[in-house]
Amino acid sequence: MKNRIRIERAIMNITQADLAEKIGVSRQTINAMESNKYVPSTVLALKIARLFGKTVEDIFELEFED
Amino acid sequence: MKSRFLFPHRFKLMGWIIAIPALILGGFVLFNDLSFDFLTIKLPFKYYFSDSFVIGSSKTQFNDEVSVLNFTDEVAAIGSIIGLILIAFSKVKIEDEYVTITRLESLQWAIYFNFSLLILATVFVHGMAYFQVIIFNMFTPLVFFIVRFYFILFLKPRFEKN
Repeated sequence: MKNRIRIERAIMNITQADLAEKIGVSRQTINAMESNKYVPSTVLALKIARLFGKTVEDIFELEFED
Repeated sequence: MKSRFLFPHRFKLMGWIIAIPALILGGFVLFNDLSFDFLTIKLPFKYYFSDSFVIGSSKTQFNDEVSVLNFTDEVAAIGSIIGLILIAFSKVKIEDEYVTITRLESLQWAIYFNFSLLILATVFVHGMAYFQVIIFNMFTPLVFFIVRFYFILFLKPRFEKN
């Protein structure tokens, strides 16, 4: 599964630590998500989408293998 | 998986304070036969669960009426176990879903790794030396879990930083 978290984060110009604090998770979680090592739960995906002002489908995309 | 069985974050430091001396003491007990005299107790009856390891050893004391037990190794073992449990299962500063999943996967990894090594040790180590393997095996699952869990959380991101 691909995600555009890093891109959106760059658009908003905040660091991983800032993003983590805004959502209420640890910086390791943001790092793991951006490195495609971790698929967030639905609640977390919704929170991220809301923070960036987009929908969940805008930020997360299913890949062929999923 | 809510963190129901985890200790508060403060307990981690207490875990280190208990575990490090206990493990060092255990090392000395195991390899240097260290035993503190003030930890020896004499029971006025024969305690059933304290038979000498080697049958017919000349070191058995007072076979019939009393048992003499030294508690240095017990203190080392219990201290190590309690300390390692506190280190392993204290909450991280920010508990979120990623930490929960990482904790579960690290536990699985530690069990796999521990039993693989145990199988290898069972094949290659025999006789009385295997007794030492068993003693190490009391602590290695927790140690491997601690190493793996904190490696994934803190060291791996540092290696992959770009």
